Parts: sequence; C-alpha cells; structure tokens
Amino acid sequence: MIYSRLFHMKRTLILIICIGIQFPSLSQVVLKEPLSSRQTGYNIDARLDAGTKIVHGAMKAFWVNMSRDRVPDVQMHLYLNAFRNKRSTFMKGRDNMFAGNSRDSGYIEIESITDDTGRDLSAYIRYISPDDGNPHDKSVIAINLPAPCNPGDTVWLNINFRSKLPGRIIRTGYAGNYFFVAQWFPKFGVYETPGMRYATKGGWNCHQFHSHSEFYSNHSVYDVKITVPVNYIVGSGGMLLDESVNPDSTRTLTFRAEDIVDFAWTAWPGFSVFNDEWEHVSITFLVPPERRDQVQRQLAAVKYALGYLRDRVGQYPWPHLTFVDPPVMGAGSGGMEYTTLFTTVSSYGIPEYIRLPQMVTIHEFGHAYFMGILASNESEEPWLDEGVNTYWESRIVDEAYGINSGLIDHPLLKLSDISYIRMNYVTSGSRQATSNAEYSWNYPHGTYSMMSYHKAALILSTLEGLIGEKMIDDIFRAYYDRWAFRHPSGKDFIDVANDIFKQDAGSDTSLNWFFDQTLYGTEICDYKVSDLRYVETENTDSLFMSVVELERVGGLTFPVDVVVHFENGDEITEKWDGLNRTKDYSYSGKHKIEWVRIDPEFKIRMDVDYINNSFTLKANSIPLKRIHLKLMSFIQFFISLIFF
Amino acid sequence: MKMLAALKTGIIRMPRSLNGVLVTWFVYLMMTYLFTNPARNVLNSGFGQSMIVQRMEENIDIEVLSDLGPVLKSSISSISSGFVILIIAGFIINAFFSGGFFKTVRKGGNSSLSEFFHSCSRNFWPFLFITLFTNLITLFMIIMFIAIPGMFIGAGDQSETAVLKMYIIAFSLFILVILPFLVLVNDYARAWQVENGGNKFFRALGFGFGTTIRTFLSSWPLMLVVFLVQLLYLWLAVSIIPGMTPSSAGGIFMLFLVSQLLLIGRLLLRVFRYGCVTSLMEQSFVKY
Repeated sequence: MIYSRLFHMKRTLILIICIGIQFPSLSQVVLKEPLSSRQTGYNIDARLDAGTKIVHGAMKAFWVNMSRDRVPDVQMHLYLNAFRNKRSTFMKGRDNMFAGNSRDSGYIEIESITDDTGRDLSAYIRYISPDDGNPHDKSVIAINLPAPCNPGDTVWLNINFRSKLPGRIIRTGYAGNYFFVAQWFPKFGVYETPGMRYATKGGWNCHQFHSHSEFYSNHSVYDVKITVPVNYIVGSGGMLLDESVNPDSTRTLTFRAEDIVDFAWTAWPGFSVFNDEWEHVSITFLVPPERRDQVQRQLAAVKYALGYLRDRVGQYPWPHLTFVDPPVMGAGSGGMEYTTLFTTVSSYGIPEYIRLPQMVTIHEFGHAYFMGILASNESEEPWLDEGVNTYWESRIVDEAYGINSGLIDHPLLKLSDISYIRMNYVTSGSRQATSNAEYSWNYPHGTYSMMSYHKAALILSTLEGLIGEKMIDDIFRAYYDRWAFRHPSGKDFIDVANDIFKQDAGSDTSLNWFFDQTLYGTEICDYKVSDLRYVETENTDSLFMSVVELERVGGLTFPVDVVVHFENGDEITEKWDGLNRTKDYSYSGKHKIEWVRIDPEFKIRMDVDYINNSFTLKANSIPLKRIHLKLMSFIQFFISLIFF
Repeated sequence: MKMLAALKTGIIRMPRSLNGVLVTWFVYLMMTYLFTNPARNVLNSGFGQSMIVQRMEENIDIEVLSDLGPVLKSSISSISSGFVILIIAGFIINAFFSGGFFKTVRKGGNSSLSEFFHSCSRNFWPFLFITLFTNLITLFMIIMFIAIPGMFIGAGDQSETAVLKMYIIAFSLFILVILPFLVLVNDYARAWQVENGGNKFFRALGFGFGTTIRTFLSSWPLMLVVFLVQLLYLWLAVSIIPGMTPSSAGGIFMLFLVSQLLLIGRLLLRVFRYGCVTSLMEQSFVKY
C-alpha cells in the first residue's frame, strides 16, 4: 500500500514536469498544489452557435498510462450520442420518450482526430457497447492506438468535434435561448489497475450511458475557452481567468478548473449574478431575476453546508463554487452536480416554510464531496454517491432548519428531511426488488431512486442510530482522508468503517454483519410488539405475571432497545439482539405493564412499520378524533361554499 | 341608498331563517359524518393500541400516516370515491333548502318551518335547474379565464413574473366581476321564482340576467360587500379551526362546538346574501 502510494506520487511529479513542459497551461493556477494524479487533462476551445444549437469544439487532451500494462487502446465517452435517436441504450431505457425529430435529438460527432504526431486516427475508431451489446448505441468509442501505450507514456489526442444539444433537456440541452452544456465533449474512461476498486486486472472502465446511470471519470485539469454571443452570461465549473469581446459580437471566456471530474457550463442572457464569499471560497449564484427573493436563502444554505461538511468530513479544497437556478424552461437541467458547478431548483414565490430549494442546493453541493472529491463509480455503485450524499443532506437540512421540521415547517404540517426519505422507502413497493450489489442499469424499472437514494441513506441513518453520530463522523472523516481523489469502491468504504469501528469501539468485530444484510441483501426490518398478557398468581408477594411478546417480522437483525413501563411509573429497558424471531420478557409484580416500546428513540429508521413497535393499554384516540373533526368541518365548509 | 337599505334588510331578515339553517346544518353534519366515519374507523383499527399516535398530538405526522400502508390507501380510496357522490348530494341539498330560505327572506316571510319546507319542495326543480345552469356557466368562465390564457402562456417563453401577472389579472377579473355577476343572476332568478311560482325556470333566468344588467351599478357593489363579509368570515374560520389542537375529551367537544357554530354562521351569511338581493329586487321593481 505504502509502496504503491510512493510510486504514485513519484509518477505524479514526473508527469507534472513532463506535461508542464508540453502543456504550459497545466502549471498550478487555481490551487497551490495538485490534489489528484491528473491522469487526464483537457484543453478545449468551444464556440456556441446559438442558432443551430451546436457547440463546435477543438480539443487537445491527454491520458497518462499509470499502469504496468501496455495498453492497446483508449476508450472515451460520447455521452451526447445517447440523444441521437430512439435506438440508443439511454432512450430505450426511457421507454422511447424521444420524439424523433431533429430539434429533440442530440449527438456528438468527431470531425477529426489526430495524435501528437499529426497522424489521422479516425480509421482507428470503433463504437463499442460493453454493457448491453447494443450495436446502435454510440455512447462509447475505443480508439485502437497505432502502437500500444507503454507504462508511463502519454497518449495525446487532438479532436475537433461538433456537439448538437438536444431540445428536450435531460440534464443537458437547450430551451429557447437557455443552454446547459453537460457531457458535451469526448471524455476518457477510467483505466483501472489491479487492486483498484474491484479490478483484478488492468482494463478500461467505460460504461455506456444508460437511462439510469451516472458517471465515472478521472480528476483532470480543464482549460476551456467558451465563445458565446456577447449578451450571454456564462457560468461554469471553472475559475474565470480572462474575458474578451470579439469583433463578431461574441465574447470569449477562459476558464480553468483543476482536479475535478467533469466540466459543464451554462449560458443564458437572462441570468442575474450574485456573488458571495465563504472563507476561502468565492461563490457565484446565477438565477433568473424574478427569483431574487430566493437568493439569500440559497446562499445561506450552501454556506451552511460548506461549514457542516468541513467540520465532519473534510475541507472543500477549491477556491470557487458556482451554482445555477435554471429558468422554468430549463428545469430539466436542475438538480445536478458537476463538482464546482451544480444546479438547484426553485420557483418564484416558494414560501419560507417550504425548504425544498435549500434541500436541493445542499444535496447538489454535497456531491462535490462524494462525486467530486471521492469520485466513486456512479454507474456501478450509485449508492456510494447518491445514498451517502442523501444521508448527509438529511443531516444538514434537519440540523439547519429543525430536527422535526427541516423540510416543511408550517404550524399545520411539519416534516423533516429524514422522515421524507424514510417515507419514500417505506411506501415503495419495490424496496426488496434487488440489492445494492447490482449495477444501476440493472435495477428493476422504477427503482433507481429508491435503491440509490432513499434505501442507502436510511441504511446509513440506521447505522448512525446503532453506533452513534460521533463514530459515523469519524468514519467519514477517515474515508475522506484515505480516499479523496482516489476513486474508492463500496468495499473500500466498508473497510474504513470497519477500521474505525474496531478502533473506536475497542472491538474485534467488524460491521460486515450490518452491511452484508442491508446493502447487499434484500430483506426489510420490522420489529413488533405482538402481545402483552397477564396471569394472576397465587404468590403472596405479587399479583401479576406479565408477559411481553416481541417478534422480528422482517429479515434484518439489529440490536434494539425495549422499554417496558409499569402502571406505577417504573420502567425497565431491555436490550434485545434481534437474532431470534421472537423474544419474551416476563415480569412478576404488583403492577401491570402500561405500555411497551421497541426502539423508543426511533433509531432504526429502516424499520418499515413504527406502528407495531409499541403497545399500550390506554390508547390515545384524541389525535384521530381531532383529525376527523377537522376533516368533517372542512368538508362541510367546502359543500357550503362551492354551490351558490 | 338602495344598497345600504338592502344590506340592512338582509341583516334584519336573516334571523327568520334560523330554523331552516339548523335543519340544513344537521343534514350537512349527518352527510359528512356518514362520509368520513368509515375512513376514521379504518384509521382507528390501523393504529390499534399503538402509541405512535402521540406523534400527532401537535400536528399531522405524515410519516406516521405513511406507515399505515394499505390501510391508508384504503382510507384515501374510500374518501375519494365517495367524494363525487358527496358533491352531487351537496348540490341537490343546497338546491332544495335554498327554496325555503328565499321564502323566509322575502317581504312578509316568516320563520315557520312548515312554510320553509313547503317552499323547499315547491321550488326544488326550478331551483335545481337554475343553479345547475349558472354553475355550468361559472365552470365555463373558469375555463375561459384561467385555462385558455394558460395555454397561450405555455406556448411562449414568458418569464415567471409575466406568467404570474397574467394569472393574477385573469383571476382578479373573474373574482371581482364575473363571479359576482353570475351569483346575482342566480339569486335574482331564484327570488323571482319564489315570488311567481310555477316551473318557469327560463323566465326566471331571463329575469335574473335582465335585472342584474339593469341594476348593475347598485347590485354589483352590494355583492362585493357581501363577498367581502363572507371572505372575512372564512378567514376567521380558517384561523380558528386548524389552530385548535385539543388534547383532552373536553377539548375535542369544544372543537366540535366551535367548528359547528362557525358553520352555522356561514350558513346564516348565505341567507344574509339571499336577503340582501331579495330586498334590492323589491326596491327596484314595484311589480315583478
């Protein structure tokens, strides 16, 4: 482990010196020192034709072979080809929502491709479909190299390309004169070496673009020049270095981003721009002017998240952050992340007591950590980004805005973020459909959200309930320290969790028993108080023998607290390991049991039925009567109002 | 002024209809109880002896309700499937009882319950038709004023503020002009019907439209004042009822008492409107 890290660092230093000589722009500009190995880099000159909705690009990109293999090809993503026609893998998974007209379609065409000697490589390109063998899917290419790339060598590619943006925005595209340009350039896949994630041998990890999958790429340096019509306002994931107005009524903006996994940008003449600062981070917020009333709450949300994650996970390393609230016509680009650029969602006039805009902002910012810094493989293990991020989002939102009212805080209705997440899981009919071991595109139809976001977030919330918030924070701090900019897998995360658990708890046991059944199983958790009964005894010291019967209805086994409360006010707290299907507790005494509660503090959020977790002799019917009366009076008023 | 006199007369004649209002209130109560009680029983059995309902002592806890699973779905399903029947029943009941109310608030009317019911039954079919007709026109106007502009807005790339402004203008026009107009037509038609008897619904409607247009300058402000009073009352009811969170049996009884008294007040205000319009009609026409 130590040797490979030293080897890694030495290679990085050599790499930077070599590339710096050839690629002067790759010296440090944004950050004081590199954060990653920078195995890839992109220098792109892009021009947006707002009339034809095409981005013309001239790109010089490199990939460094940091493996011990002689690699015969490079593989690249052409994500925009997912929108080419309805036969693509992406569109097939969307039940052919593609309208099939030229306005809606999107694609990326390579106009020319040469290596650093000027040799034409266009004949060496072949489209591949490593996941489903779909011959019509053109989202991945392999470029056979004239000569294999030796260990330590660099492949340079000069690519001229044309990216037509789709007219129906699914994260990327245009609507009217609004453009969100994402997944728009040919992008290297990740060459995994043995021992990296689950790789047992060297090979490309370059999945097709599926309807329910996201992305995986190396941390790179991006030097991007964007030319747009002069009246357009541009936001991107890079730091603006230069800006100039051209004689042809266009303007060119030069951006640089270091050690990020993706570069996206937006352009629209209608944006209002707001700037703010948080410690070392310069924040830019682009928003339609009629949503000025949302600006302060959004900026406050992202600054709160910056501080919260810094304190519990690690530092946000970049000096810049841009986020965008798209206009209504560009709503399809809302709620997405590109490390130092993300998009949020809001609307004019959303009342203060509904925190949906802040929730989305905090969630999309959080991806800067789990998708951006840690950069796990979102296609294969979406839970490691989406689920983990959703867990942190719920913690941040509920702490910032109220433990029981983080999402909605109205006198008549309060809802916390974690409750909302649990509701999605509990009410899903497909929560046992598959395990998180499955690749995301193999999830049964309609289960992606539940599997990637809600179930995984609840798993972590339940783990927090079992081991405590401090230990969870220690786990994530260690995860960040060990795996930042190194593409961890789920197994790597679990290994960190085990290390910290053993260290903090002073235990020899690991947490594998927890992750094996939750992440990699399909069972549910459901504990129940099944009965409470009394037997009168003839013993003169006691009058009753009380028996509490508990049952584990679900397949998941967690240790739980059980509180037994007697009529005289006495309470006993039992610890049940949950391993057996049933458990009885018996008590002799003069007082009857008044109520029993399993998991009284609701720590086991994965329990799908809180109703059967408790039993009382004196059920309180007042809340239901109140609801019933109010419903009745509402209906009476409604009938009296709707007809003259 | 005619409007002030009509308002004053409306207030004076309103108490005559108290018996009828109480009967209407009782019918509403039975109807909604029969409609909501099955759902309540289902929820009660779903929660059983669980202590989880404690989480709803302050306000509704959606997470707890979602744990009901199929029980909740069945409650919602029973409420939504019965809702259409409830609306139809409400429509018929309102048409029936308004016949009695218009009788009590006319000149020489009294609070006799037998006369109330006699008028209810005598004018039921004409009132049903008149109310149905004017409600259909209202629905049509809603579509015209809100949905059609929405189609044009959706086709263009309007800013959110522009869209909101269009809807506010359309909504304001509807609430301030169209709706009062149609309510006046309905009320004048029914007042005429009670006075003249028979099944002359088209003549009644003709009278309603004609009178509303002829007396628009006095009728329309009157109706706006009546609307304002009703809106303020509704705001009061909406402020009081949801804000009550009783935690004892006595508190539940108080909630019931307050909500039902507020409903009775709402019904009396409707009768007040009938009285105002009837009085204005009486002032405007010697013989109608």
